[in-house]
Amino acid sequence: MGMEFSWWDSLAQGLAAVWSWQALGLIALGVLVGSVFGVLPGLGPVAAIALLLPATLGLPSLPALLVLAGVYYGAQYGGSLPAIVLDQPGEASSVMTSHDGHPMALQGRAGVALSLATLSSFAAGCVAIVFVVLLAPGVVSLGLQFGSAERFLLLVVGLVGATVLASGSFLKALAMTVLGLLLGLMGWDVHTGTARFVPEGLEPWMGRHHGLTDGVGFIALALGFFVVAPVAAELAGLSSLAPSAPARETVSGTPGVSGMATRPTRQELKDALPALLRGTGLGAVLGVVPGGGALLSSLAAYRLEAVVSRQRTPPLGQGNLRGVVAPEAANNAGAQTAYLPMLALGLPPNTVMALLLGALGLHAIEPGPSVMSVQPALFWGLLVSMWVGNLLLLMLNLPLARWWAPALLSVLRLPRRALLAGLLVAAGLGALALGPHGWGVWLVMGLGLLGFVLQRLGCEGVALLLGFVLAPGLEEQLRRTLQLSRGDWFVFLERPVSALLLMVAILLLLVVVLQPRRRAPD
Amino acid sequence: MIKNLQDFLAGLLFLVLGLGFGWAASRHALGSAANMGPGYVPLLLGLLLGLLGLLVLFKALTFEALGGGRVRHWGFGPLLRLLGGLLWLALCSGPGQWPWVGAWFQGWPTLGLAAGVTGLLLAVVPGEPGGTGGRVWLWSLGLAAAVCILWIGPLGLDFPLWPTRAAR
Repeated sequence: MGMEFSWWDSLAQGLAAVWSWQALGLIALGVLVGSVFGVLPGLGPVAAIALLLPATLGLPSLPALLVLAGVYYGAQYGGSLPAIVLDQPGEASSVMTSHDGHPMALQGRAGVALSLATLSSFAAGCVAIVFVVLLAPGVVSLGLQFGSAERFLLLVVGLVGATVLASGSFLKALAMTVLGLLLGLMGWDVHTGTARFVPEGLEPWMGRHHGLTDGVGFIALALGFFVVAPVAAELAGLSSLAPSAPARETVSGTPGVSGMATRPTRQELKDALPALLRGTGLGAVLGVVPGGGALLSSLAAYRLEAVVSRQRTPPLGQGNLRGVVAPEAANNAGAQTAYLPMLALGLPPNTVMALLLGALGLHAIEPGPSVMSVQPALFWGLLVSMWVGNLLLLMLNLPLARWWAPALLSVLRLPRRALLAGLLVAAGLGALALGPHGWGVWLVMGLGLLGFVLQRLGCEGVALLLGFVLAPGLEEQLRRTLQLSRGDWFVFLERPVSALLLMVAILLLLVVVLQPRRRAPD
Repeated sequence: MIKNLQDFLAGLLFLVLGLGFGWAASRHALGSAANMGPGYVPLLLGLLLGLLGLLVLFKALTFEALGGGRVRHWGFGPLLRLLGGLLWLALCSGPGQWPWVGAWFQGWPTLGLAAGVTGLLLAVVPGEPGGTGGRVWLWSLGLAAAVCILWIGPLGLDFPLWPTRAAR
């Protein structure tokens, strides 16, 4: 890059992009939706983003992404509220929070736990955003030095890494990835101008605007796999959506929980600080790792805290505030740093980032290291918006908690079945908006059926989504590499960086193959 | 024999899908590695998927799973009701223009959003678990109405709310 890079200018540009009523309103909307979906057990940011995708299709790229990004970290804050008050984590990444948060609430210190959770989320979020902002230009310039061979193998490493860390059978996860790649290649092939895998009768439908590749298929996939299939599973009583079956009676009256207005003392804050730092560090690192993100971060942070703080009283699991602070800091830090590989390299480390990457594609932005130079307002605006959104959540959860917390918890009193019906209607209307004459609904039906069957066979949709999102880039880089090498596959071994990446991919595969037993899917 | 039914079916599905994709890819121009046609990468991936399917099948036939990997409860009933509801929603959007089967629906009116969403709710809301009291219906209708208003209002869904005559 010939230009001199300036942090100040870039951040000012980002702030300018976000500083309007429309943008601020959209951030608030995303945060609100994220909080609500975070509170609802079994419904996380993934379902929320899938439902919002068709709705934000009409917006320009930056506003659309502001909403979608707000959902992810909003869910991290929202999830801790029912976890602490009701011992009913609304979000997989706040399961760990409930281990110590709920005992604290039972001891009459619900307010302490909640405000510590919020404060640590906010502090960790801020640190993680700074971390992303500082590292992003470096990672981008590294990514720009990569040739197509390296880019191809980087994507391969990302895919393999995400499958390795997915729970359940590794072989099936790998097969799901390949299936996702194949689905992602359906439709329009820009390079040769052919509609792939499309029967002739369908060609007018699968043309440039309503094809599988041009975003419609992506939204339909998100709706089918992450809304329709799980809702169908829960309607069938398989409850993959609500892991901890919500007991409706406990929602309205919660005996034993008191002290919502209590606040942490100075001593308690001091006591929590080391745990906060550990959680933030661990979360920031694990957020970047393929297969990482908020969920893995909070798990690991709690385990680490259980070891480090084992001398403390009360012990972890019985209401130690460190057991609240560490996972909360980690899940929010992980939720922010996960943006780094997605934005800077076009490599999504988890499901939510894959959805956001797909959303970039919807707005005709080619993901990869070029995003920062081609779309600086989007890149920096998104980073600034993360801080704005975190600030907003801090306001809602601390000074306004007296009104905010009961309002959020009242969402849990909705009849579950009505909620699922509402989700389906939203998915159906979103699908209708995808194409004329119900074309989108057909896609959602087909992909929902596929998702349901695969899920019943123990295959995870996450791997498929990752493959789907990365397929066009993967093919493009492979094509370019082999075109330059005149069809010589050994080019991947001849370049040092690509050989290294290839070795990493093979090593990751070997790690799994040689590992005797894998965690069974829960 | 089959020692893990779940894996067996998954493997079979992957094998069939892989071969199917591979076959479909081979009907496109393949090109060469230096100058790839549209079918080159899909063919490779299809074969890879088939291979992975075979591996999963092999695993399902050799390694004993806990309880044989049986699926106790498929839960296809609610799924079919749900898909039926969505199908109804699609039917309400003017099926006369559909490819292949469009001719059957010539002259059908576009039934519109209200009818479609009501049908979807009728298909999904009744049944266990959760029960269907008046409260559930009320909330379902309320939520559905809110979603419809959002889509028709600010989001500008280009779709008639009430039934309209078929276009001549």
